[in-house]
Amino acid sequence: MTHLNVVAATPQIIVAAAGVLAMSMGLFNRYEIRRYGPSAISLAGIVAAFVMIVLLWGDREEAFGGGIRSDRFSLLLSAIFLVSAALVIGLAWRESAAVDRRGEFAGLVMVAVAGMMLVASAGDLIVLFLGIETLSVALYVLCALEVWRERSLESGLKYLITGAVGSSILLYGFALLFGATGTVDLAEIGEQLGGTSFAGEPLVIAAMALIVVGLGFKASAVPFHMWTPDVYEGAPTSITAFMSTATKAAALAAFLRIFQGVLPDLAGDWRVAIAVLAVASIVVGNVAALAQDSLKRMLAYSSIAHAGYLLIGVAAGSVQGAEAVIYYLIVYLAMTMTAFAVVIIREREVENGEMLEAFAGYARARPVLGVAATLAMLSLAGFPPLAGFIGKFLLFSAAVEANMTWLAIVGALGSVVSLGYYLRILGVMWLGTPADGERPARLLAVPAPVMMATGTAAIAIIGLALFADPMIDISRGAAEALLAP
Amino acid sequence: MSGSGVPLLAYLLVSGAMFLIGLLGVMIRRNPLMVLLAVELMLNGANVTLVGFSRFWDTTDGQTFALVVMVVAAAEVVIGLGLVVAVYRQRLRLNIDEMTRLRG
Amino acid sequence: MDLSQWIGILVFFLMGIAVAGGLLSLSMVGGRKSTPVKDAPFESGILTATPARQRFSIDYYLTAMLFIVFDIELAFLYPIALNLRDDGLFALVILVVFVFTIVEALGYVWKKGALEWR
Repeated sequence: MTHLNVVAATPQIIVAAAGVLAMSMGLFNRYEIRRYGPSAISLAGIVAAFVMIVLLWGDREEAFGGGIRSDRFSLLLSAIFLVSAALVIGLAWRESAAVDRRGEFAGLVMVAVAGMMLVASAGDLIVLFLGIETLSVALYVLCALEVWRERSLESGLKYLITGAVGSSILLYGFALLFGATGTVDLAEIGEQLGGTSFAGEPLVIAAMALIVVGLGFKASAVPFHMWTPDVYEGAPTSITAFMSTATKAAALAAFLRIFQGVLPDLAGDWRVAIAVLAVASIVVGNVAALAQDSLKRMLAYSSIAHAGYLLIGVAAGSVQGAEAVIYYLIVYLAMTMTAFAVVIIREREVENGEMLEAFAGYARARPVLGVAATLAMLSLAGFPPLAGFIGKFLLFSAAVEANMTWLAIVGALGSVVSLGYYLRILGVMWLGTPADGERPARLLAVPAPVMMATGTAAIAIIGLALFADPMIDISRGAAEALLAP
Repeated sequence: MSGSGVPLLAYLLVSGAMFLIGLLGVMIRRNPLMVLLAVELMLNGANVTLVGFSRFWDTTDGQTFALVVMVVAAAEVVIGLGLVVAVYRQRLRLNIDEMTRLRG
Repeated sequence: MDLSQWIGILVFFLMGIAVAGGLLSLSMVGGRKSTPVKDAPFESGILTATPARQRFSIDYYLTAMLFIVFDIELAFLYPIALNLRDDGLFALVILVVFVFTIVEALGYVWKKGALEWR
């Protein structure tokens, strides 16, 4: 208990406490408290944690004797998780999972965010593993929250089984890493493994391989992606959006923290493995997405492909690569949230609202939402001059700088293929004619929180392109903090 | 190496065997309860490794880690059981091959 | 590696095989005669009332699950208790926060009605 320094851990503590409180709010008998209490407390917690992040912004501080460190990297990633949670709570305003079980919904989202923040700010292997498990366990329940729907339950159970296998493999990797160095502290492990004396050591190689596999499960990288489409399709749509943005960011944070932050001297050993995962994810994700008829499944495969793009930045193994990953994570949050928001709005109106045919002519009926969806899809495809293009450009040029030009070429080709399905969605939305009649059936008023969340995400896509320079500077600061002694 | 008695290699062999048996179980077994059991075996295999290395390096870090893992594993299994009970109540058959509502 | 320290285990193993194998082979010699009393399951001398293989209610699993969760928390309380004297106030604060969270969880479970036997 050398340095307690609880202040540095306040964002995590606030979020966890808000989660526990929000969950209990759902138990009150008064309808108003049950309906608005959990969301209000969660949003208050998010705002408070955000303020603390701004106040703590700066050089590294350590809490609980080095178990939790708050540096620019962990704080920026925490901000991503918090924004994602706030948007999801807004988007889920009228979703059945969130209305009937609002306490559990908001509470568990907050608990998951607390876990993700622990992952980003972990100072030793124990906290890292604890964070990954906290977020996973909360998400298993969130996936199955619509217990009256068999698909939701099935999605939760499948996620639990694959997620638990991934966690066990990851844990075994951590155990071997601990065995090779004799310490669980990330900084000390980095010191022990510094230099090249450990390169080629079987124990370390095995540990790295197991950690790549375990984190590959969490980031849904090919070939550890089998669960992703099923789970994403079965889970409540707002949770799908949360999983594909925040959980992906947490997994990438773990990748960066371990490989870039702790094992930079062994880059020769892990770069190729991660590059292979990246290529496989880009190819499989983009090709499989072409054949989907459900927008939710299509976005699931698109998220697999994006895990591949993001892993390119990790494989580059440079500050530039990490900076690109962090910037792209922010952009990806905005675009994916907007894309899923459209699905959430449509799902409330018609049955099978996630199917592509439900969107025929939808953009003409709702032009503003149509424009937002167009922005999101074009940005996801990497159309210049949108934010998605800037992010991809940074990722690919980091790969080129790192003498991995082939990786950049695969990424660029993958983006071209991805145009196929993103443009197909847009074609159906703007030009398609509904099966029965001129206008799409049943347009309902969009609730204000959903509208606000959608608008924020859509505007962020433009904002991140207009103010790309300051955002990239912030990302670079975070990337440099990874390697700071 | 500290202490006497059981050598490190024995820990590693036992834990590796536990982990592999668990992995095989996950891949072969079809009953969700059995799969959960197999996952538990994998986690505990990793736990034995942690404890073994903890002895080898003469530190308590690994044992603390193992303690945390035990609690985490319990939470995971409890949620798994809860989901299985919920699925059972939904009158789904207890066989994950028959869960075909979702393709893939 | 010096194997002489394992000799005890080897002897134990051989004795086990000898005793079990001896009893089994003795039973082969005399032949078997089955009576209703012999066939009944052994229940410490008490007469068996119901078949041993009954099915549990699914609610049993719910209760068992809750038991596991609250039982495993002890794994954390025990180390804290050991260090309470050394760490003083800090450990106490952690203990209180931890117990508070668990009690909150118990209240949640209670209020949700998971403790009712349906």
